[in-house]
Amino acid sequence: MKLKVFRFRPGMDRPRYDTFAIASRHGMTVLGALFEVQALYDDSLSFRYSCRGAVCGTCAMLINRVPRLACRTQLEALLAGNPGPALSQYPLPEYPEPWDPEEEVIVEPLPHLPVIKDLIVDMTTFFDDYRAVLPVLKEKEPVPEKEWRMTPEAVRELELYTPCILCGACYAACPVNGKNPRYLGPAALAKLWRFRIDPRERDAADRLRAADNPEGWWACEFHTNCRRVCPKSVPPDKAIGHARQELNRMKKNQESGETGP
Amino acid sequence: MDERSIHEYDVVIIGGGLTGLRAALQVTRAGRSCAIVSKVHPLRSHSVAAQGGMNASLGNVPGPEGTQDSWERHAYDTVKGSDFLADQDAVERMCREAPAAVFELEHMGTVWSRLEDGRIAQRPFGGAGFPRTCYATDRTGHNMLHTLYEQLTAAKIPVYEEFFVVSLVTDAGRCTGCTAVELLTGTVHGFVTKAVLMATGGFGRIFSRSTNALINTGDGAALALRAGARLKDMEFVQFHPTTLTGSSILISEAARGEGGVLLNRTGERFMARYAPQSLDLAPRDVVARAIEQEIRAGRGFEGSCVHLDIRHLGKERIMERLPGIRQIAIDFAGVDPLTEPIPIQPGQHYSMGGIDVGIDGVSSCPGLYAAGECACVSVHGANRLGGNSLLETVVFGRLVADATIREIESLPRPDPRPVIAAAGETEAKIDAILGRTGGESLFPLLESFREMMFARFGIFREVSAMEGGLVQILDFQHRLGTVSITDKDRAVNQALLRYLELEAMVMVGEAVARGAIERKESRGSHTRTDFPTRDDLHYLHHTIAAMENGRITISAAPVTLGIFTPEERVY
Repeated sequence: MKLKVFRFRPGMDRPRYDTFAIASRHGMTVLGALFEVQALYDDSLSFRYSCRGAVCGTCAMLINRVPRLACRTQLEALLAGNPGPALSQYPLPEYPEPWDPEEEVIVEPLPHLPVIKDLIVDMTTFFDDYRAVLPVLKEKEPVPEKEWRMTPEAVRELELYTPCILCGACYAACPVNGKNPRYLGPAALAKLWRFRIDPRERDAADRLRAADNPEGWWACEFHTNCRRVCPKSVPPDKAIGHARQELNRMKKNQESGETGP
Repeated sequence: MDERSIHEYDVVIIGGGLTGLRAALQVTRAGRSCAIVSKVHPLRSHSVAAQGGMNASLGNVPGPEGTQDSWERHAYDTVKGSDFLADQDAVERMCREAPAAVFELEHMGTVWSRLEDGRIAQRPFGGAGFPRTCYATDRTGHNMLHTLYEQLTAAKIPVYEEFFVVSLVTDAGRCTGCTAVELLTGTVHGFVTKAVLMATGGFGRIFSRSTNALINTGDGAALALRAGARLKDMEFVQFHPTTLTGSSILISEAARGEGGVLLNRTGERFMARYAPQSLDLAPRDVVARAIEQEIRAGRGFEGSCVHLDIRHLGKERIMERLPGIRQIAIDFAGVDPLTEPIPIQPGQHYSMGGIDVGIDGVSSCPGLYAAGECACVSVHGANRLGGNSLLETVVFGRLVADATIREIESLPRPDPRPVIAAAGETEAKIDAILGRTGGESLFPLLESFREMMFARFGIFREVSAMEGGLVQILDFQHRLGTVSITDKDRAVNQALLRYLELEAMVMVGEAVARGAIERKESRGSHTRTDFPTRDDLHYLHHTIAAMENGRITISAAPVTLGIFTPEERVY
């Protein structure tokens, strides 16, 4: 098979694509193929990696035009014609390079983030959005001596969102992030919601209001690409939907309160 | 040197995993300035991969016949598990601190799995007499690391991420900083500090087969050794019996706990010959040795593996109890355990040895501290129990930060000049590496070194193979000096990073090798076919590795006993 790889470094007018022949083996991942290119053909090929086991969130990239973890994506599955999830308003028009899906796998950097070199993108805006939601527990008082009691149900609900590994796949898949860089994005909103529903959280109501604006809960258009590409099955769209319902209910109550007898 | 590349903090913490983050919070809370320098974004640290849990004698779940857990019982299990090589005062401290450490994380926001009554759930783990392991489904390390990173963000602690530390700087024998290369730009930076706290994790990647993240290359141990600090017990390396063939990703003990069986090429359930009582659920070291023997006897499958078969459990049970393991097998081996057995082989899992420190994390080089997997206190001795490594990170991350804060109180501001000079040396070193042409290629050298380490210093060790291996290690060290890299850019040069890592790896490899050759007994993870039994008379001591005139020398240091008397380790 052939690996077609996006190449860019500062100083280049436009990116180019390099194609490498890879002897695909059963179980070989896209990350494995990239390491092989580095070792055999071109040691300047650059991409991020760490755990190689789909737990650290480092190696998200655009593979056959779907944002996914390179370490978790098998070459065989791609060549067998498995296209991955169908995404709304995808593929993006800014990636016009053709490829032959029967013989090639095309690997490109995550969209919606500036490219530093090859497959490495600048994650600054992604983590700025993360920090913007003040992602830290503000604990209720009085604080118990031991642990807070939490029902298994409350934990189950929280554990829908806590598996997020902040890989950025959802951010890259979201059409709203593509047209509005000020949008907080699915990962940050899912994180914010996780604190909203934490029974230990003191400022749960503030959490809801924190993104009650056009760049927050209300920017989402429910394409649900975020949920479809998430390697950890986190549903940011669900969190956003809940938040909007709660806000609508609050506003309705306020209005009826004001106009009531 | 551009002065914007010279930074000054009271404490510089190298590594952004659980230990580094916990320590940074402590230093900041004490009103001291600190920064984290890490070769990856902190959330990409290997701590995130820890699955099983964190041990603490909360006693939320009763033990056998309603007995109550205690720190003493936790300490006993830990010391026994260590094959009596752990220092018992350190183990006592860790086990006493454990419940408070779990509660502290809980108050910071970590989501733990719960019992029906709302308290933190605990489950049984290998080598433990009680259900003592607090957990967050099968991603305990992930939940803990994200919590501490959230705290770090709130505390606005600076992180120099994707910076690789190239050297520690000493001034009149005291560590006063480090130099680092900013990987994305190639700029060299200097850090001037009253104390360096090393929290760089383990060195699993010196072995070709390892469950560790690709970044765990032992950089911290090598930096410390070069700066004049000693290493301890480097020969004790834990091998896990079941890792996925090819990628060496961990397949948890839970697969066998639920009834999975190990089969060789003839379809035989071979554990019956090695551990007739406990079969597939014998302790880790026993199962790892058995699998390796089967493979060596030619009864393995192609690719040096045996099969872990869970098909007989049925779809329903697999989907309910082992969904994560099924997903790993599908994602990383292209094998669906519902219809095919999982190809597995033993692989390196944990580094018990590390930078020689006491309970306060003070190394033998003044100003240099260490905690977590890169350190050796020792709380794990010759073999670590599951659930004790997460515990170690947060307990010692805090204790060592406290000790550091106390010690730097009276220290004057360090002289920045040695750091500036060292940054110049690092510049020159990088220029020299990138300036070489026509030499040996880096990647085959890296691979053959790692394969040699696994073959000669892996599960079974024997003097002639090891001595041959040591000769090869010294040759690798020599050859590395002639390697040339094709990419000549300073910015985002991953081949250069791999080169600098390999420099650390071959040095750490030498310490492992010399320690393993010197220890003529079998204890915990260290299995000598030529010395198959434990020998307390001659070897109930720590192994110390030190750098003298460019050579690593080995000596011995006493083990702190005191609570439990060494006995035979039977399960």
